[in-house]
Amino acid sequence: MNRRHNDPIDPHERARLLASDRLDGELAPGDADWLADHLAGCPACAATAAAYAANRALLRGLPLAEPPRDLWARTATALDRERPRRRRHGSSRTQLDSRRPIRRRRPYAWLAVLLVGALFVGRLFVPFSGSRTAIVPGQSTGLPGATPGSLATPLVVLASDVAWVTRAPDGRYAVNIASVAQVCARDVAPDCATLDSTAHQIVSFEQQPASVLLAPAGGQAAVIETSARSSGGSILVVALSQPVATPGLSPAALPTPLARATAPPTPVAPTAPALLPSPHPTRTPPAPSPSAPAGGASMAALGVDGSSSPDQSSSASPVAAVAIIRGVVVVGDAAYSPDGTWLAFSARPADGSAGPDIYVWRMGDPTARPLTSDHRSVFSAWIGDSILGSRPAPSPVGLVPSLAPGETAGPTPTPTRTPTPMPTPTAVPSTLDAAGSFDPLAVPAPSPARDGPTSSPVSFLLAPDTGQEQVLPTSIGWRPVVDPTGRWVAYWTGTLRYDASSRAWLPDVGHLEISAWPLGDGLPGASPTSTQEGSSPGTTSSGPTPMPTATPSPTPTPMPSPTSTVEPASTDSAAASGGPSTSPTPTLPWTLDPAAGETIRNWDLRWDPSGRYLGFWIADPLVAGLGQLSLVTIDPATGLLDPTTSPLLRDVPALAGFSIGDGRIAWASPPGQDGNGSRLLVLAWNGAATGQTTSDPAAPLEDILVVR
Amino acid sequence: MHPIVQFTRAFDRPMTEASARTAADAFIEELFARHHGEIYGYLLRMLRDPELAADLTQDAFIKAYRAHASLADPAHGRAWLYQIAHRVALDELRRRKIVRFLPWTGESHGSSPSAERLAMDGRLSAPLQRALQRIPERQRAALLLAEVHDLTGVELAAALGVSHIAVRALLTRARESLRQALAAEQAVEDAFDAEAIRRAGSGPTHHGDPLDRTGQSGTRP
Repeated sequence: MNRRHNDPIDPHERARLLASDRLDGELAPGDADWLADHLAGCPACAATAAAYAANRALLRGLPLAEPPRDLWARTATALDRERPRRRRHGSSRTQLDSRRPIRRRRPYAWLAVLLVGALFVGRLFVPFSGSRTAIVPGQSTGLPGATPGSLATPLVVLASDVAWVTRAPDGRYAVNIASVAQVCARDVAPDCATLDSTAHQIVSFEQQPASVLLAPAGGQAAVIETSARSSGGSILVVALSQPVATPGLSPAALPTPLARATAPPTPVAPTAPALLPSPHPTRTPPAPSPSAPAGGASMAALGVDGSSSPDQSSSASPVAAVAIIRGVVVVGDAAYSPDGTWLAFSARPADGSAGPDIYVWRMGDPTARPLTSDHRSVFSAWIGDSILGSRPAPSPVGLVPSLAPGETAGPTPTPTRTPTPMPTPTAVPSTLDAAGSFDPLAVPAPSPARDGPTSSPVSFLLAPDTGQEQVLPTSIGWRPVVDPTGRWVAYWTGTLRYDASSRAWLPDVGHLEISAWPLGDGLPGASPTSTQEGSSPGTTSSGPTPMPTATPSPTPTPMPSPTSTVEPASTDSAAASGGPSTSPTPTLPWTLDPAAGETIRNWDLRWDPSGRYLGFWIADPLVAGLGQLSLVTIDPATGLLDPTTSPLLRDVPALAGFSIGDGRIAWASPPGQDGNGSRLLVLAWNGAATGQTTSDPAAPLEDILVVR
Repeated sequence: MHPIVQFTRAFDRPMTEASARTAADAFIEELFARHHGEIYGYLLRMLRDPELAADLTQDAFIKAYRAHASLADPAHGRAWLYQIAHRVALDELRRRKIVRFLPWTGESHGSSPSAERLAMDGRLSAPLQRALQRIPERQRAALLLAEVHDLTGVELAAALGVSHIAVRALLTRARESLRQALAAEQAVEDAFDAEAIRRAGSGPTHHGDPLDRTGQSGTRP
């Protein structure tokens, strides 16, 4: 044994070695404990360990480089020169001079192989402006010159729509929607069919929206917009008509400089109520909206250019969008309920007079109404028809942000396992347009205040209609997201710290993790469906349920991954051994962040409908709106990373906001990643096969926004 | 269409004499399609010369084509390819004694990234790129392969031609070297910024600034 390497005498040297090893995999329990103890007493070693982790993040954030587009042509030409020699000399080494690479000496060579590719595809190449080659939609060529059958076969996937926002040539921001039915080998995605050729524009805005959500049933979109002014942002609900192939027509004179929704030239109902139907009568009168005056006024202030017929494109009916809330900063996420009848979000007054509360809007209501009034609650996700929210646990006096003059704070709910009465909805003061700006994902400041008070998170379920609240076990931490089958929940566990500058509670020390969802499908009001027969958890109506029975796995240890750390705790062995766990608290099968959350300040977790795939976007600690996206496969029996499958995406640079659906994930690349502007990228899978397609790059200065 | 399945099938074909050429062709095409981007990225980070990286990527695949029969287990194809690329890079470094700095922002040919993005990338990566160039080549290779290209310990050992134990020590040394190099870069940056502030407060710039690493007074590299 090499003592210098494996058993250093110097404890500081050993600490450096273990701190390095920790980044590459799990330490033995004894080593981990020793390292923790040593780092606790050695600030210099702790700083070194932190630097190792931070430098790793820096390395992983190095910008990507795209090889020259003619690299294959050059290599193929060199291979052509190599082959005759191989035939002459058998398998012996050839005389090819590798120091003389082919450097575009024969431009006709790659043209020739392009032609071969075109003949193979059997479709006509359409020259595209710029350096790209556009291919007939739905087809792919693979690499230029690839032999038939090697790469050129497109992968047929479950047809699924993806939508994204780009700036249209007329200067407006258009929502494009395209169906993804075929994708191409991932390595050749840049030269594969683009989405743009089949996309329709379904609506456009004069202002750039910060986020756009499509209602599950279609026909409606929620647009979160910001304002450069101090009045804060708003959420608009826009009625959509049927998508058409023709891009939206230019609007006629619109009444306000606010968002202008341009409908395609199809018949559009003339009034908002018809466009925004109310499937259910409003049982409770809506609370006064912060600054959305009356619904009619809102509608009048917003325009949709809906022509009565394709031939009457200039006759505008500027009524199809409603501001359901204004003068706020949206905090955290916003989402439609699975059935599309509700929209939930959390927001705080733009003037910073109070912290965030959870709001809901029911289709047909004129405005959104608050469900909480503690000014500390954030919306996380829907589970069935219930809302998942989080708030910091009750903390010492003085931690709650001060209230605006005249504002009445609602009761601060006390964590309890029994439902609590709905907090009295508190109207946001109408004097909220003093300050503030829109922040769709509450991206924190790069260096949140380290001296603010701390707290631990509490999560809860809310009934959107009654506000009835059910507090979850404390082990379910901050912003939990439950998979649609109701088996697994992903969340942040750790402490929170109050950041006075953003009036927000931010993750402090902790990490993201997954565990068994303790309430199963017996949740009152929740109706998750299990797609795995026999694998759903228990159905008790309240309280935790045993962990689902795990199927013994031939390879119980998940593959090591830089984005997953297998916990050595007994929870793993319990899950892998096939024996059900009776622990009332969630297990910790694995964590998303091996660096113990040192750099995680914001994230976005989304499950696919099957609960088999989990996408997670981790925000860059320095650059707002930028982060890294990963997509992992979850073993449905254990909740662990599927040991047989590599992550489909791993730390891919991505802008904030991605969408995941049946068999596909869509995200936007940051500008400059491949030498072009931002793009929409779609990774689709069909069984074990995967493929990718993309949109044309946006202008270099603009980011693409993924519609969710 | 599954990458692994396809990859495996290319190797599972009976290697008769008649089919040998087809198998070799299919092999190299598969390998190129799946890994040319990351191999190019690795070589670019090692050599910091886009054109040279492209040439060496081509060389690596030619060598892989020649030696494809030596790969016993196709599941190790990626690590095997990195091993070839690593040797190609080291050979080139030794042969040409490359000691040059090329500012690189990761943008590819013909790109027109936003000035804002360029500035951001430069701000984030320039000290790191310089620090990487300051550490020994083998350490740099180990760091890039482990941290950026996600090679496992076993793959890394194979690619670098050392034992798994040695890889562990090499990575530790590399991380420590990078930490110290980054600290040194940061010290230079801080000194530069301090000097820039001092100049801004004292009027026009003068020539011969010892902090100017480009030799062009008043401009940053």
